[in-house]
Amino acid sequence: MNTKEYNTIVRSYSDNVYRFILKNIRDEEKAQDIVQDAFEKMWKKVEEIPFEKAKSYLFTTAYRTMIDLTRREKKQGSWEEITEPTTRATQDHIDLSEILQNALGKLSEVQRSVVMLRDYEGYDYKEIGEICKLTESQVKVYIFRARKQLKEYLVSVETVI
Amino acid sequence: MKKKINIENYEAYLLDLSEGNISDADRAELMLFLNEHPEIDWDTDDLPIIEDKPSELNEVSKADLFRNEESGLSQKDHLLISSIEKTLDPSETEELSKLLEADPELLKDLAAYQKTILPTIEVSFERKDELIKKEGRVIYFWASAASIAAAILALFLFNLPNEKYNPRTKGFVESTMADSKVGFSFEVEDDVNDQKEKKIIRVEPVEAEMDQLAEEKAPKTEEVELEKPQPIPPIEENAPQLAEVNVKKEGKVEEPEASPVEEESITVPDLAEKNSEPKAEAPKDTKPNKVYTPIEFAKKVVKEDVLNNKSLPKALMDEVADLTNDKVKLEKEKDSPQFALNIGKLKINKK
Repeated sequence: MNTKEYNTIVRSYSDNVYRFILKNIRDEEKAQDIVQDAFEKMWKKVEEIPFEKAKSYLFTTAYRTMIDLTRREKKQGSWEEITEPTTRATQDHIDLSEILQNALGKLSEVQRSVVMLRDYEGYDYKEIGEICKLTESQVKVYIFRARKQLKEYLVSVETVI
Repeated sequence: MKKKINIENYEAYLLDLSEGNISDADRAELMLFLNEHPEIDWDTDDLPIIEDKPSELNEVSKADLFRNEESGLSQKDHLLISSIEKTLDPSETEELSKLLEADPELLKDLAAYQKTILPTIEVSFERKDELIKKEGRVIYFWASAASIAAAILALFLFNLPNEKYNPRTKGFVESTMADSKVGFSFEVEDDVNDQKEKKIIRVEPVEAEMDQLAEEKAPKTEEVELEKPQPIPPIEENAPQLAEVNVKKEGKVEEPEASPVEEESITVPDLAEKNSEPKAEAPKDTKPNKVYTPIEFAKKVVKEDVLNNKSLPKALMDEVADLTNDKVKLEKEKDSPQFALNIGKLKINKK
Protein backbone atom coordinates (compact mmCIF):
# COMPACT_ATOMS: atom_id res chain seq x y z
CA MET A 1 0.00 0.00 0.00
CA ASN A 2 1.38 3.44 -0.84
CA THR A 3 0.73 6.78 0.80
CA LYS A 4 -2.10 7.60 -1.54
CA GLU A 5 -3.83 4.33 -0.75
CA TYR A 6 -3.24 4.84 2.93
CA ASN A 7 -4.95 8.23 2.69
CA THR A 8 -7.82 6.61 0.85
CA ILE A 9 -8.24 4.23 3.76
CA VAL A 10 -8.24 7.16 6.18
CA ARG A 11 -10.92 8.95 4.19
CA SER A 12 -13.03 5.86 3.64
CA TYR A 13 -12.88 4.06 6.94
CA SER A 14 -11.86 6.32 9.80
CA ASP A 15 -15.52 7.16 10.47
CA ASN A 16 -16.48 3.48 10.38
CA VAL A 17 -13.80 2.29 12.73
CA TYR A 18 -14.52 5.21 15.05
CA ARG A 19 -18.22 4.30 15.12
CA PHE A 20 -17.35 0.69 15.84
CA ILE A 21 -15.15 1.59 18.79
CA LEU A 22 -17.33 4.41 20.07
CA LYS A 23 -20.47 2.26 20.14
CA ASN A 24 -18.52 -0.37 21.99
CA ILE A 25 -16.92 1.68 24.72
CA ARG A 26 -19.12 4.79 24.71
CA ASP A 27 -16.25 7.11 25.43
CA GLU A 28 -15.45 9.60 22.69
CA GLU A 29 -11.97 10.48 23.85
CA LYS A 30 -10.85 6.90 24.31
CA ALA A 31 -12.45 5.92 21.02
CA GLN A 32 -10.55 8.68 19.22
CA ASP A 33 -7.29 7.60 20.82
CA ILE A 34 -7.86 4.01 19.80
CA VAL A 35 -8.60 5.00 16.22
CA GLN A 36 -5.54 7.23 16.11
CA ASP A 37 -3.44 4.43 17.52
CA ALA A 38 -4.79 1.93 14.99
CA PHE A 39 -3.92 4.22 12.09
CA GLU A 40 -0.45 4.83 13.53
CA LYS A 41 0.13 1.10 13.67
CA MET A 42 -1.11 0.72 10.13
CA TRP A 43 1.15 3.52 8.91
CA LYS A 44 4.19 1.83 10.44
CA LYS A 45 3.44 -1.27 8.39
CA VAL A 46 2.01 0.55 5.40
CA GLU A 47 4.31 -1.16 2.91
CA GLU A 48 3.54 -4.63 4.19
CA ILE A 49 -0.23 -4.29 4.13
CA PRO A 50 -1.96 -4.86 0.79
CA PHE A 51 -4.56 -2.22 0.03
CA GLU A 52 -7.37 -4.76 -0.16
CA LYS A 53 -6.55 -6.02 3.33
CA ALA A 54 -6.22 -2.59 4.87
CA LYS A 55 -9.77 -2.24 6.17
CA SER A 56 -9.64 -5.60 7.85
CA TYR A 57 -6.22 -4.80 9.33
CA LEU A 58 -7.56 -1.51 10.64
CA PHE A 59 -10.58 -3.05 12.36
CA THR A 60 -8.51 -5.91 13.74
CA THR A 61 -5.97 -3.52 15.21
CA ALA A 62 -8.59 -1.20 16.63
CA TYR A 63 -10.56 -4.10 18.09
CA ARG A 64 -7.54 -5.59 19.80
CA THR A 65 -6.41 -2.25 21.11
CA MET A 66 -9.89 -1.73 22.52
CA ILE A 67 -9.91 -5.16 24.16
CA ASP A 68 -6.46 -4.57 25.66
CA LEU A 69 -7.51 -1.20 26.94
CA THR A 70 -10.76 -2.37 28.48
CA ARG A 71 -9.08 -5.34 30.14
CA ARG A 72 -6.32 -3.18 31.51
CA GLU A 73 -8.76 -0.64 32.84
CA LYS A 74 -10.96 -3.30 34.34
CA LYS A 75 -7.94 -4.70 36.15
CA GLN A 76 -7.09 -1.26 37.42
CA GLY A 77 -10.66 -0.82 38.53
CA SER A 78 -11.09 2.39 36.64
CA TRP A 79 -13.32 1.05 33.95
CA GLU A 80 -16.64 2.74 34.03
CA GLU A 81 -19.25 0.10 33.68
CA ILE A 82 -21.68 0.74 30.93
CA THR A 83 -24.69 2.15 32.64
CA GLU A 84 -27.67 -0.12 32.74
CA PRO A 85 -30.11 0.86 30.12
CA THR A 86 -33.19 2.40 31.53
CA THR A 87 -36.50 1.40 30.11
CA ARG A 88 -38.27 4.66 29.80
CA ALA A 89 -41.73 3.21 29.61
CA THR A 90 -43.33 6.47 30.59
CA GLN A 91 -41.95 8.22 27.56
CA ASP A 92 -44.40 8.46 24.74
CA HIS A 93 -41.90 8.01 21.98
CA ILE A 94 -39.00 5.69 22.38
CA ASP A 95 -36.72 5.59 19.46
CA LEU A 96 -35.98 2.08 18.24
CA SER A 97 -32.38 3.00 17.66
CA GLU A 98 -32.04 4.15 21.24
CA ILE A 99 -33.63 0.97 22.55
CA LEU A 100 -31.26 -1.04 20.44
CA GLN A 101 -28.30 0.87 21.77
CA ASN A 102 -29.47 0.06 25.27
CA ALA A 103 -29.98 -3.55 24.30
CA LEU A 104 -26.48 -3.64 22.88
CA GLY A 105 -25.21 -2.55 26.25
CA LYS A 106 -26.61 -5.72 27.73
CA LEU A 107 -24.63 -7.94 25.42
CA SER A 108 -21.18 -9.23 26.18
CA GLU A 109 -18.24 -7.38 24.62
CA VAL A 110 -17.72 -10.09 22.01
CA GLN A 111 -21.40 -10.36 21.14
CA ARG A 112 -21.65 -6.61 20.77
CA SER A 113 -18.58 -6.45 18.55
CA VAL A 114 -19.63 -9.25 16.22
CA VAL A 115 -23.11 -7.81 15.76
CA MET A 116 -21.73 -4.36 15.01
CA LEU A 117 -19.19 -5.68 12.55
CA ARG A 118 -21.97 -7.61 10.90
CA ASP A 119 -24.56 -4.85 10.73
CA TYR A 120 -22.48 -1.70 10.42
CA GLU A 121 -19.69 -3.02 8.23
CA GLY A 122 -21.41 -5.91 6.47
CA TYR A 123 -18.60 -8.34 7.20
CA ASP A 124 -19.26 -12.05 6.75
CA TYR A 125 -18.66 -14.56 9.54
CA LYS A 126 -15.21 -15.46 8.30
CA GLU A 127 -14.02 -11.86 8.19
CA ILE A 128 -15.44 -11.16 11.63
CA GLY A 129 -13.66 -14.25 12.87
CA GLU A 130 -10.36 -12.91 11.55
CA ILE A 131 -10.88 -9.61 13.30
CA CYS A 132 -12.04 -11.06 16.61
CA LYS A 133 -9.87 -14.18 16.56
CA LEU A 134 -12.84 -16.53 16.48
CA THR A 135 -13.81 -19.41 14.25
CA GLU A 136 -16.54 -18.90 11.72
CA SER A 137 -18.96 -21.10 13.66
CA GLN A 138 -18.19 -19.31 16.92
CA VAL A 139 -19.03 -16.04 15.22
CA LYS A 140 -22.30 -17.47 14.00
CA VAL A 141 -23.26 -18.70 17.46
CA TYR A 142 -22.37 -15.36 19.03
CA ILE A 143 -24.43 -13.50 16.47
CA PHE A 144 -27.44 -15.80 16.73
CA ARG A 145 -27.50 -15.66 20.51
CA ALA A 146 -27.01 -11.92 20.46
CA ARG A 147 -29.98 -11.56 18.10
CA LYS A 148 -32.09 -13.70 20.40
CA GLN A 149 -31.15 -11.51 23.36
CA LEU A 150 -31.78 -8.32 21.43
CA LYS A 151 -35.15 -9.55 20.28
CA GLU A 152 -36.21 -10.53 23.78
CA TYR A 153 -35.16 -7.12 25.03
CA LEU A 154 -37.09 -5.34 22.29
CA VAL A 155 -40.20 -7.43 22.90
CA SER A 156 -40.00 -6.85 26.65
CA VAL A 157 -39.67 -3.09 26.18
CA GLU A 158 -42.57 -3.04 23.73
CA THR A 159 -44.63 -5.05 26.17
CA VAL A 160 -43.92 -2.58 28.96
CA ILE A 161 -44.77 0.32 26.70
CA MET B 1 -33.10 -24.52 29.56
CA LYS B 2 -35.32 -23.60 32.47
CA LYS B 3 -38.80 -24.93 32.05
CA LYS B 4 -41.59 -22.46 31.86
CA ILE B 5 -44.16 -24.63 33.64
CA ASN B 6 -43.39 -25.78 37.15
CA ILE B 7 -45.11 -26.88 40.31
CA GLU B 8 -45.74 -23.27 41.24
CA ASN B 9 -47.59 -22.21 38.15
CA TYR B 10 -48.98 -25.31 36.46
CA GLU B 11 -52.50 -24.59 37.72
CA ALA B 12 -52.64 -21.38 35.77
CA TYR B 13 -51.78 -23.30 32.64
CA LEU B 14 -54.35 -25.95 33.50
CA LEU B 15 -56.91 -23.19 33.73
CA ASP B 16 -55.85 -21.81 30.37
CA LEU B 17 -56.07 -25.28 28.97
CA SER B 18 -59.58 -25.79 30.29
CA GLU B 19 -60.60 -22.49 28.74
CA GLY B 20 -59.03 -23.42 25.47
CA ASN B 21 -56.80 -20.42 25.81
CA ILE B 22 -53.37 -21.98 25.60
CA SER B 23 -50.77 -22.07 22.85
CA ASP B 24 -49.68 -25.32 21.29
CA ALA B 25 -46.22 -24.98 22.72
CA ASP B 26 -47.51 -24.33 26.25
CA ARG B 27 -49.97 -27.17 25.96
CA ALA B 28 -47.16 -29.49 24.88
CA GLU B 29 -45.01 -28.40 27.78
CA LEU B 30 -47.91 -28.75 30.19
CA MET B 31 -48.54 -32.28 29.00
CA LEU B 32 -44.91 -33.13 29.52
CA PHE B 33 -45.05 -31.61 32.97
CA LEU B 34 -48.18 -33.56 33.93
CA ASN B 35 -46.63 -36.76 32.66
CA GLU B 36 -43.63 -36.13 34.87
CA HIS B 37 -45.91 -35.47 37.84
CA PRO B 38 -48.44 -38.28 38.01
CA GLU B 39 -49.24 -37.27 41.59
CA ILE B 40 -51.07 -34.23 40.28
CA ASP B 41 -54.72 -34.98 40.16
CA TRP B 42 -56.34 -33.17 37.30
CA ASP B 43 -59.70 -33.73 35.81
CA THR B 44 -59.77 -34.64 32.16
CA ASP B 45 -63.44 -33.74 32.05
CA ASP B 46 -62.41 -30.13 32.26
CA LEU B 47 -60.37 -30.49 29.13
CA PRO B 48 -62.73 -30.98 26.23
CA ILE B 49 -60.38 -29.06 24.00
CA ILE B 50 -57.69 -31.65 24.26
CA GLU B 51 -59.91 -34.23 22.72
CA ASP B 52 -60.61 -31.89 19.84
CA LYS B 53 -56.97 -31.36 19.14
CA PRO B 54 -54.81 -33.76 17.20
CA SER B 55 -52.89 -36.20 19.32
CA GLU B 56 -49.55 -35.07 17.86
CA LEU B 57 -47.79 -31.76 18.25
CA ASN B 58 -47.89 -29.53 15.24
CA GLU B 59 -44.77 -28.53 13.36
CA VAL B 60 -44.41 -25.16 15.04
CA SER B 61 -44.54 -26.67 18.53
CA LYS B 62 -41.97 -29.23 17.56
CA ALA B 63 -39.76 -26.58 16.04
CA ASP B 64 -39.97 -24.70 19.32
CA LEU B 65 -38.87 -27.79 21.22
CA PHE B 66 -36.05 -28.98 19.00
CA ARG B 67 -32.68 -27.46 19.55
CA ASN B 68 -30.47 -26.58 16.66
CA GLU B 69 -27.15 -28.34 16.90
CA GLU B 70 -25.20 -25.41 15.56
CA SER B 71 -26.54 -22.49 17.57
CA GLY B 72 -28.13 -24.28 20.51
CA LEU B 73 -31.25 -22.16 20.01
CA SER B 74 -34.68 -23.63 19.37
CA GLN B 75 -35.04 -24.69 15.76
CA LYS B 76 -37.77 -22.09 15.31
CA ASP B 77 -35.55 -19.24 16.50
CA HIS B 78 -32.63 -20.59 14.56
CA LEU B 79 -34.62 -20.55 11.35
CA LEU B 80 -36.01 -17.08 11.98
CA ILE B 81 -32.59 -15.65 12.73
CA SER B 82 -31.07 -17.47 9.75
CA SER B 83 -33.73 -15.81 7.67
CA ILE B 84 -32.74 -12.29 8.68
CA GLU B 85 -29.06 -13.23 8.52
CA LYS B 86 -29.70 -14.52 4.99
CA THR B 87 -27.97 -17.79 5.74
CA LEU B 88 -30.86 -20.16 5.13
CA ASP B 89 -30.02 -23.14 2.95
CA PRO B 90 -32.73 -24.56 0.66
CA SER B 91 -33.94 -27.18 3.13
CA GLU B 92 -34.14 -24.59 5.91
CA THR B 93 -36.00 -22.22 3.63
CA GLU B 94 -38.56 -24.91 2.96
CA GLU B 95 -38.81 -25.74 6.64
CA LEU B 96 -39.38 -22.12 7.58
CA SER B 97 -42.00 -21.70 4.86
CA LYS B 98 -43.94 -24.62 6.28
CA LEU B 99 -43.75 -23.20 9.78
CA LEU B 100 -44.95 -19.80 8.66
CA GLU B 101 -47.76 -21.43 6.78
CA ALA B 102 -48.75 -23.47 9.81
CA ASP B 103 -48.59 -20.54 12.18
CA PRO B 104 -48.78 -17.05 10.67
CA GLU B 105 -48.16 -15.67 14.15
CA LEU B 106 -44.53 -16.48 13.55
CA LEU B 107 -44.38 -13.49 11.24
CA LYS B 108 -44.49 -11.32 14.34
CA ASP B 109 -41.42 -13.06 15.67
CA LEU B 110 -39.75 -12.64 12.31
CA ALA B 111 -40.54 -8.92 12.36
CA ALA B 112 -39.13 -8.65 15.88
CA TYR B 113 -35.91 -10.31 14.76
CA GLN B 114 -35.76 -8.00 11.80
CA LYS B 115 -35.65 -5.07 14.22
CA THR B 116 -32.48 -6.42 15.82
CA ILE B 117 -30.49 -5.42 12.75
CA LEU B 118 -28.68 -2.28 13.79
CA PRO B 119 -29.67 0.73 11.70
CA THR B 120 -26.84 2.70 10.16
CA ILE B 121 -25.67 5.52 12.37
CA GLU B 122 -23.49 8.23 10.87
CA VAL B 123 -20.56 9.02 13.10
CA SER B 124 -17.78 11.37 12.06
CA PHE B 125 -14.20 11.05 13.20
CA GLU B 126 -13.10 14.62 13.82
CA ARG B 127 -9.37 14.01 13.82
CA LYS B 128 -9.32 12.59 10.30
CA ASP B 129 -7.16 15.39 8.91
CA GLU B 130 -4.42 14.56 11.39
CA LEU B 131 -4.14 11.11 9.88
CA ILE B 132 -3.74 12.18 6.27
CA LYS B 133 -0.15 11.87 5.02
CA LYS B 134 1.41 13.93 2.30
CA GLU B 135 1.67 12.21 -1.05
CA GLY B 136 4.40 12.15 -3.74
CA ARG B 137 5.88 15.00 -5.76
CA VAL B 138 8.35 16.08 -8.51
CA ILE B 139 10.36 19.03 -10.14
CA TYR B 140 11.84 22.54 -10.36
CA PHE B 141 12.19 25.52 -8.22
CA TRP B 142 14.32 28.57 -8.07
CA ALA B 143 17.76 28.80 -6.67
CA SER B 144 17.31 30.43 -3.31
CA ALA B 145 14.49 28.16 -2.28
CA ALA B 146 16.28 25.10 -3.51
CA SER B 147 19.43 26.11 -1.70
CA ILE B 148 17.60 26.59 1.55
CA ALA B 149 15.79 23.32 1.16
CA ALA B 150 19.00 21.55 0.24
CA ALA B 151 20.80 23.08 3.20
CA ILE B 152 18.02 22.08 5.54
CA LEU B 153 17.98 18.62 4.08
CA ALA B 154 21.71 18.27 4.42
CA LEU B 155 21.69 19.60 7.96
CA PHE B 156 19.11 17.14 8.99
CA LEU B 157 20.74 14.30 7.26
CA PHE B 158 23.98 15.03 9.09
CA ASN B 159 22.37 15.65 12.43
CA LEU B 160 19.87 12.84 12.41
CA PRO B 161 21.78 10.13 10.62
CA ASN B 162 20.13 7.13 12.19
CA GLU B 163 16.61 8.32 12.50
CA LYS B 164 13.80 7.30 10.31
CA TYR B 165 12.77 10.89 9.93
CA ASN B 166 10.67 10.96 6.83
CA PRO B 167 7.77 8.83 5.74
CA ARG B 168 9.39 8.66 2.32
CA THR B 169 12.78 7.80 3.70
CA LYS B 170 13.41 4.17 4.22
CA GLY B 171 16.63 4.64 6.16
CA PHE B 172 20.24 5.26 5.42
CA VAL B 173 22.47 2.73 3.82
CA GLU B 174 24.47 1.39 6.73
CA SER B 175 27.58 0.39 4.87
CA THR B 176 28.00 3.85 3.52
CA MET B 177 27.17 5.48 6.82
CA ALA B 178 29.97 3.57 8.48
CA ASP B 179 32.48 5.73 6.66
CA SER B 180 31.58 9.33 7.27
CA LYS B 181 34.38 10.55 4.98
CA VAL B 182 32.72 9.22 1.92
CA GLY B 183 29.42 10.87 2.63
CA PHE B 184 26.26 8.90 2.95
CA SER B 185 23.30 7.55 1.12
CA PHE B 186 19.66 7.38 1.91
CA GLU B 187 16.77 5.74 0.26
CA VAL B 188 13.69 7.67 -0.69
CA GLU B 189 10.42 6.68 -2.13
CA ASP B 190 8.51 8.90 -4.44
CA ASP B 191 5.26 8.51 -6.26
CA VAL B 192 5.81 8.81 -9.97
CA ASN B 193 2.70 8.49 -12.07
CA ASP B 194 0.98 6.84 -9.12
CA GLN B 195 3.67 4.21 -8.87
CA LYS B 196 6.13 3.93 -6.06
CA GLU B 197 9.68 4.53 -7.09
CA LYS B 198 12.55 3.88 -4.73
CA LYS B 199 15.80 5.73 -5.11
CA ILE B 200 19.05 5.55 -3.28
CA ILE B 201 20.22 9.10 -2.93
CA ARG B 202 23.93 9.41 -2.34
CA VAL B 203 25.36 12.57 -0.84
CA GLU B 204 29.10 12.87 -1.08
CA PRO B 205 31.41 15.08 1.00
CA VAL B 206 31.46 18.77 0.48
CA GLU B 207 34.09 21.30 -0.39
CA ALA B 208 37.76 20.34 -0.36
CA GLU B 209 37.36 16.64 0.19
CA MET B 210 35.08 16.38 -2.75
CA ASP B 211 37.51 16.74 -5.60
CA GLN B 212 40.05 14.50 -3.97
CA LEU B 213 37.56 11.78 -3.22
CA ALA B 214 36.01 12.10 -6.62
CA GLU B 215 39.37 11.48 -8.19
CA GLU B 216 40.04 8.53 -5.93
CA LYS B 217 36.71 6.99 -6.53
CA ALA B 218 36.20 7.68 -10.17
CA PRO B 219 38.45 4.98 -11.63
CA LYS B 220 37.50 2.36 -9.01
CA THR B 221 33.78 2.50 -9.27
CA GLU B 222 31.30 2.27 -12.03
CA GLU B 223 29.30 5.10 -10.67
CA VAL B 224 26.79 6.50 -13.06
CA GLU B 225 27.97 9.67 -14.68
CA LEU B 226 26.27 12.66 -13.23
CA GLU B 227 23.66 14.33 -15.25
CA LYS B 228 24.10 18.03 -15.27
CA PRO B 229 21.68 19.73 -12.92
CA GLN B 230 18.96 21.79 -14.48
CA PRO B 231 19.91 25.44 -15.00
CA ILE B 232 18.81 27.36 -11.99
CA PRO B 233 16.90 30.57 -12.50
CA PRO B 234 18.28 33.79 -11.00
CA ILE B 235 18.18 34.24 -7.27
CA GLU B 236 15.59 36.55 -5.88
CA GLU B 237 16.88 39.94 -4.90
CA ASN B 238 15.91 39.54 -1.29
CA ALA B 239 16.55 35.85 -1.08
CA PRO B 240 18.33 34.79 2.09
CA GLN B 241 21.93 33.74 1.70
CA LEU B 242 23.37 30.65 3.26
CA ALA B 243 26.66 32.12 4.32
CA GLU B 244 25.83 32.03 8.02
CA VAL B 245 24.21 28.99 9.41
CA ASN B 246 24.11 28.45 13.12
CA VAL B 247 22.53 25.32 14.42
CA LYS B 248 21.34 25.15 17.99
CA LYS B 249 20.24 21.77 19.15
CA GLU B 250 19.29 21.13 22.76
CA GLY B 251 21.34 24.07 23.88
CA LYS B 252 24.48 22.93 22.11
CA VAL B 253 25.72 25.18 19.35
CA GLU B 254 27.19 23.41 16.40
CA GLU B 255 28.97 24.87 13.43
CA PRO B 256 28.45 22.39 10.67
CA GLU B 257 31.24 22.57 8.18
CA ALA B 258 28.88 21.83 5.40
CA SER B 259 26.59 24.70 6.15
CA PRO B 260 26.42 26.29 2.73
CA VAL B 261 25.64 23.41 0.49
CA GLU B 262 27.19 24.31 -2.78
CA GLU B 263 25.71 22.76 -5.79
CA GLU B 264 29.12 22.21 -7.32
CA SER B 265 30.52 20.54 -4.23
CA ILE B 266 27.98 17.80 -3.88
CA THR B 267 27.16 15.05 -6.25
CA VAL B 268 24.31 12.77 -5.62
CA PRO B 269 24.26 9.95 -8.09
CA ASP B 270 21.29 7.69 -8.10
CA LEU B 271 22.48 4.26 -7.02
CA ALA B 272 19.10 2.64 -7.28
CA GLU B 273 20.20 0.66 -10.26
CA LYS B 274 23.14 -0.78 -8.37
CA ASN B 275 21.67 -1.30 -4.97
CA SER B 276 18.24 -2.63 -5.60
CA GLU B 277 16.43 -5.25 -7.56
CA PRO B 278 15.51 -4.25 -11.07
CA LYS B 279 11.99 -3.01 -11.20
CA ALA B 280 9.76 -4.88 -13.58
CA GLU B 281 7.20 -2.12 -13.72
CA ALA B 282 9.37 0.97 -13.88
CA PRO B 283 7.48 3.95 -15.21
CA LYS B 284 8.33 4.60 -18.83
CA ASP B 285 9.06 8.26 -18.38
CA THR B 286 11.59 7.88 -15.59
CA LYS B 287 15.26 7.98 -16.41
CA PRO B 288 16.99 4.93 -15.00
CA ASN B 289 20.28 6.78 -14.52
CA LYS B 290 18.84 9.97 -13.21
CA VAL B 291 21.22 11.76 -10.91
CA TYR B 292 19.99 13.96 -8.12
CA THR B 293 21.83 16.67 -6.35
CA PRO B 294 20.37 17.66 -3.00
CA ILE B 295 19.13 20.78 -4.70
CA GLU B 296 17.34 18.77 -7.32
CA PHE B 297 15.94 16.60 -4.63
CA ALA B 298 14.76 19.67 -2.77
CA LYS B 299 13.15 20.89 -5.95
CA LYS B 300 11.34 17.64 -6.30
CA VAL B 301 9.92 17.63 -2.83
CA VAL B 302 8.67 21.20 -2.77
CA LYS B 303 7.45 21.42 -6.32
CA GLU B 304 4.04 19.97 -5.79
CA ASP B 305 3.29 22.33 -2.95
CA VAL B 306 4.24 25.33 -5.00
CA LEU B 307 2.20 24.07 -7.91
CA ASN B 308 -0.67 23.88 -5.48
CA ASN B 309 -0.31 27.62 -4.90
CA LYS B 310 1.41 27.36 -1.57
CA SER B 311 3.78 30.16 -0.76
CA LEU B 312 7.47 29.33 -0.80
CA PRO B 313 8.01 29.67 2.96
CA LYS B 314 4.89 27.62 3.66
CA ALA B 315 5.95 24.93 1.19
CA LEU B 316 9.40 24.77 2.71
CA MET B 317 8.10 24.66 6.25
CA ASP B 318 5.66 21.91 5.36
CA GLU B 319 8.40 19.89 3.72
CA VAL B 320 10.75 20.26 6.63
CA ALA B 321 7.95 19.38 9.04
CA ASP B 322 7.29 16.31 6.93
CA LEU B 323 10.97 15.42 6.89
CA THR B 324 11.48 15.78 10.59
CA ASN B 325 8.05 14.96 11.98
CA ASP B 326 8.51 18.06 14.06
CA LYS B 327 6.90 21.48 14.39
CA VAL B 328 8.36 24.11 12.07
CA LYS B 329 8.12 27.83 12.48
CA LEU B 330 9.67 30.65 10.50
CA GLU B 331 10.40 33.86 12.39
CA LYS B 332 11.64 37.11 10.94
CA GLU B 333 12.94 39.98 12.97
CA LYS B 334 11.58 43.41 12.22
CA ASP B 335 13.83 45.72 10.26
CA SER B 336 16.49 43.07 10.05
CA PRO B 337 17.59 40.65 7.37
CA GLN B 338 17.88 37.93 10.02
CA PHE B 339 15.32 35.22 10.24
CA ALA B 340 15.16 32.02 12.20
CA LEU B 341 13.83 28.67 11.20
CA ASN B 342 12.71 26.70 14.25
CA ILE B 343 12.40 22.99 13.75
CA GLY B 344 11.42 21.40 17.01
CA LYS B 345 14.31 22.22 19.32
CA LEU B 346 16.57 23.04 16.44
CA LYS B 347 17.05 26.63 15.38
CA ILE B 348 18.67 27.83 12.19
CA ASN B 349 19.55 31.51 11.87
CA LYS B 350 20.11 33.04 8.48
CA LYS B 351 20.56 36.42 6.95
